Amino acid sequence: MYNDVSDEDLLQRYYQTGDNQWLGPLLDRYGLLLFGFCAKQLNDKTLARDTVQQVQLIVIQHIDRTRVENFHAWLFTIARNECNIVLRNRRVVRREVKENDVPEAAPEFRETFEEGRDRLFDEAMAALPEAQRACIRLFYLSGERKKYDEVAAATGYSIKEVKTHIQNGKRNLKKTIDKMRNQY
Amino acid sequence: MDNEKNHPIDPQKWLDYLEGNLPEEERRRLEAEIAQSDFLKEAMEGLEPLKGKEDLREIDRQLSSHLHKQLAQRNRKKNRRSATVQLWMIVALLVILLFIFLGYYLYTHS
Repeated sequence: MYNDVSDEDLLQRYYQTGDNQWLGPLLDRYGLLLFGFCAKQLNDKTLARDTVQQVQLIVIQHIDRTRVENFHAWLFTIARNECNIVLRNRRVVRREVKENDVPEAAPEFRETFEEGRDRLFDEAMAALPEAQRACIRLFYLSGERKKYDEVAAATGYSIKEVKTHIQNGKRNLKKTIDKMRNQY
Repeated sequence: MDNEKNHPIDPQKWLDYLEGNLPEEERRRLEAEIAQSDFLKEAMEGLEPLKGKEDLREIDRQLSSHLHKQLAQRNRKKNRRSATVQLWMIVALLVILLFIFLGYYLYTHS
């Protein structure tokens, strides 16, 4: 539907009517490409999917506040910014795991960790139990870092369970990374 | 970017392209678009390694379904806000009418 209507026309109709029937197809047509873009930036399919949803939400919330001329460029600029936020948050959680849980890491560990840290971190995240991975992802890695109660609302766990999953998740991340390090 | 204006993005075509099912002419046109846009280039670089491993059509469908949920939620909020504004306008109108009536009553009976 609306396959022959240009971005500019859909945007124009949306601005004239404020009707989401024009915004939906506009965002819909970019979903897969945004996913590819975020997957490339983040090197993580699940994070990429979360980030696309976050980008779509930002567009829905902000499109009325500004007059967008080039939707394609605007959309991908938002996507790039969101990916940068996710990457920054990932560095933060990695640093927390590293600093809080590996206080006596040997220098060679640090070196190995630095060299292969993206891959080690991604693999360690993938090895976590689903509940811990979901809580850590939402708490540390989502575009807008969520609070405990927001993570609880998103996952269905209680706040106490969320805190436990995050704590255990961080400890398991450290253990897994440690184990991987010993294999090198 | 001009190409994007002339040829709106069609996810089905991009999926066909990734699956190698696009006619030659269409394939060339998409490749020309990719060559002109850094974003499209990066998007394809992200999708290429996943083809064959991931069900990209299913991912597209899930993203679309989530998008429509978000839009429906926003519609509900918008409607609720609009109903509240209307309610307050009616209340304000009634209060104004009441004052006019009271003013008229006091003026005629004083």
